Amino acid sequence: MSLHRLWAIIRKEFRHIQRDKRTLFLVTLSPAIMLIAFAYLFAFEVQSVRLGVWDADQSALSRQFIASLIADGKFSLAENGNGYESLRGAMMRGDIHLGVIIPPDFEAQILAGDGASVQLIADGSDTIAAAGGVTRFRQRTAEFARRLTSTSSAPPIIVQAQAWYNRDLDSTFAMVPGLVPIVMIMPSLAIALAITRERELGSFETLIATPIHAFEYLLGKLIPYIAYGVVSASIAYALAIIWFRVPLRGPVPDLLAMTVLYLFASLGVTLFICGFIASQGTAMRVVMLLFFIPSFFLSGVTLPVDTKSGPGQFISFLLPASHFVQITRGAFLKAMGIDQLAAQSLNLFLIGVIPFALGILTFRKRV
Amino acid sequence: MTTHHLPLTTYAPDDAVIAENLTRKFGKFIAVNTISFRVARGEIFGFLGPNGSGKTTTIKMLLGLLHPTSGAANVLGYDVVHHPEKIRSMVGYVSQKFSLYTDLNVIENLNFYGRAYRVWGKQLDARRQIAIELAGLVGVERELTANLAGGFKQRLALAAAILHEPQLLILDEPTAGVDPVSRRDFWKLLYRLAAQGTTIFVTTHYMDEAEQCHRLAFIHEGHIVATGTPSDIKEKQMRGSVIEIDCDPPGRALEILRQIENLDETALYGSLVHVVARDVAAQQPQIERALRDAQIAIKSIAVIPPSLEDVFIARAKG
Repeated sequence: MSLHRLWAIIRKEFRHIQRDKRTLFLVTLSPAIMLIAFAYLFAFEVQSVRLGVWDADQSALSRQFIASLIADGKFSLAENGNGYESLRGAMMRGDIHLGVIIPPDFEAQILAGDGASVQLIADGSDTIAAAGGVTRFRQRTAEFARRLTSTSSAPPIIVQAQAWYNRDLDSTFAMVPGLVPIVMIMPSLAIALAITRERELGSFETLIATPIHAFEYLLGKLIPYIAYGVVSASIAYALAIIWFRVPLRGPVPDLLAMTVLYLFASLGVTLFICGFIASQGTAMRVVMLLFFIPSFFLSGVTLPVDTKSGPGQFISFLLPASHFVQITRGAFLKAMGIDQLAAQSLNLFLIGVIPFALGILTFRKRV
Repeated sequence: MTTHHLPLTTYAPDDAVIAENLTRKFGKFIAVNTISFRVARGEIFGFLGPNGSGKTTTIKMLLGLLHPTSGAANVLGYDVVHHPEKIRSMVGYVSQKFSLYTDLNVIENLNFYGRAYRVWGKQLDARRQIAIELAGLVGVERELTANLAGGFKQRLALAAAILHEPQLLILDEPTAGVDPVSRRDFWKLLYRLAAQGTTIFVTTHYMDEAEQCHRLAFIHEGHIVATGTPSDIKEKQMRGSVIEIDCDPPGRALEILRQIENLDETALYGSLVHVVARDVAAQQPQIERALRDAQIAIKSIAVIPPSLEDVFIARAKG
């Protein structure tokens, strides 16, 4: 191990990144741009939120209220419940995103001028639909109430919103931190292209004929991409805070440290696998198939993981994004630090260090 | 895998490379088949053979990048299987395909490879300057490698391989695809390095380059079929004699001659026909008769000294 040699590799790698516009874009701005695209995509995806309604009042006013909710088609009535359990069952099955409970004295209270309260239950595991749905529900209820009482300034209908499975649900863009693990796959794509390009150009063949140690080479490749990865993640975080107004409640240094662990894990796996791939085209497809697509569906970013069966759950555990999505959501919304996310952090470290070690052992066997 | 150390008695400090029964199989395919050769320190050793004959596989074994299936090799006193790092730190390697980084400039490339071989600081500055001057790269130091012409790239690859002052330089077809003038310049460089005491192991399929080597080994389908100095190979290792025929039309003559039995080899060299005959006294009249019968005009027919190519083709056949 020679620090001097390691430094030579790091410097060379930084130059490669800075001189190739495509790579530079992948490891700086592309995650932030993808984040914007995904955030709006999912926010507008919330166009049709499925409601389950338990109308305990069965009055003219309660039916009027329900009709006003679904009038423009952005809410659809998917379940007519007759109790908490029927709503819970529908939500567990994924049939509904929101449960609305109209109390038996709804009409009577409003007519008496006391103001009624409606209970709203959101599926917190489906943050994307739920977060958008809750906001929209509040708006609809307020509009309905305003029409009822054009004279009074105080809205007579209070929405008591409660999220099942996730309590920190208040903004349309609360899902933005959860999207960060997906957009932060771009540095992995960049390193996959870089390592296979070196192979395609034949530079790797000359490199392994030098006394460079596998450890120096792999670490020297990894460090610049982790450094740029932190930069691009910071841009994405800033965007989440400033543009999407998602509060970062946890400590910043902890979040950055865990971001480094995520980059180490995802880049470590990529580096190992791409050591056996000869072309950039294949490398790109492998990263997409290995990280991008499963991270979308199996990491809990868009779908709740716990409803998946055995093999899905196992793959989910191996995906760095599964652990990091808990970290970003925890750090942003639940004010969690690295101490409370120690298990996820350790998992990320292990997911990274094992392929890294295997990469060292198989380094010169890839001639 | 059955590799063995060379017995100590066979190692001579005058040898830079010793290969003994070196063999490498890929599945059932035998890329290198029990080859043995020695490269003396300070000599330019030419390793010749057509594409796919086992040259690159042999080089990879000498660099410790591929393990031999059987047999052994010793480079600069170290066994290739057990001490590849030692060997790699004392050897300079120029690969077949240009492989330096095209997005780095000349100096950046040289600095990187120098440091890879643990040369740095003032020593690196000094040796880099020497290498730049030696390789004729003065004036293009800050040029991006992608913008260099082929001959410059080749000399840069060589410069990168000599910064650590290697005792042995291994070059795998270094001049493939380079224009003749650049090739000549490149060989002048190799001579200067050899004069400074560097052992040079070079593969090529250019016969004019082979002529410039001190000693040659010719590899064909994994076997070494001839070794020796160029003149030794031409004078002593030819089986049969080369008869050169100037006739018209040569293509038709070739067809006629191929129907004659006992001729080892018939080939066109430009507009001339070369025929290898074991028994000139008996076969030359036979050839002349056959051509006359076919009404082909013979302008001249004579036995000529064989070229390296003649010998290699003849040896490759059997």
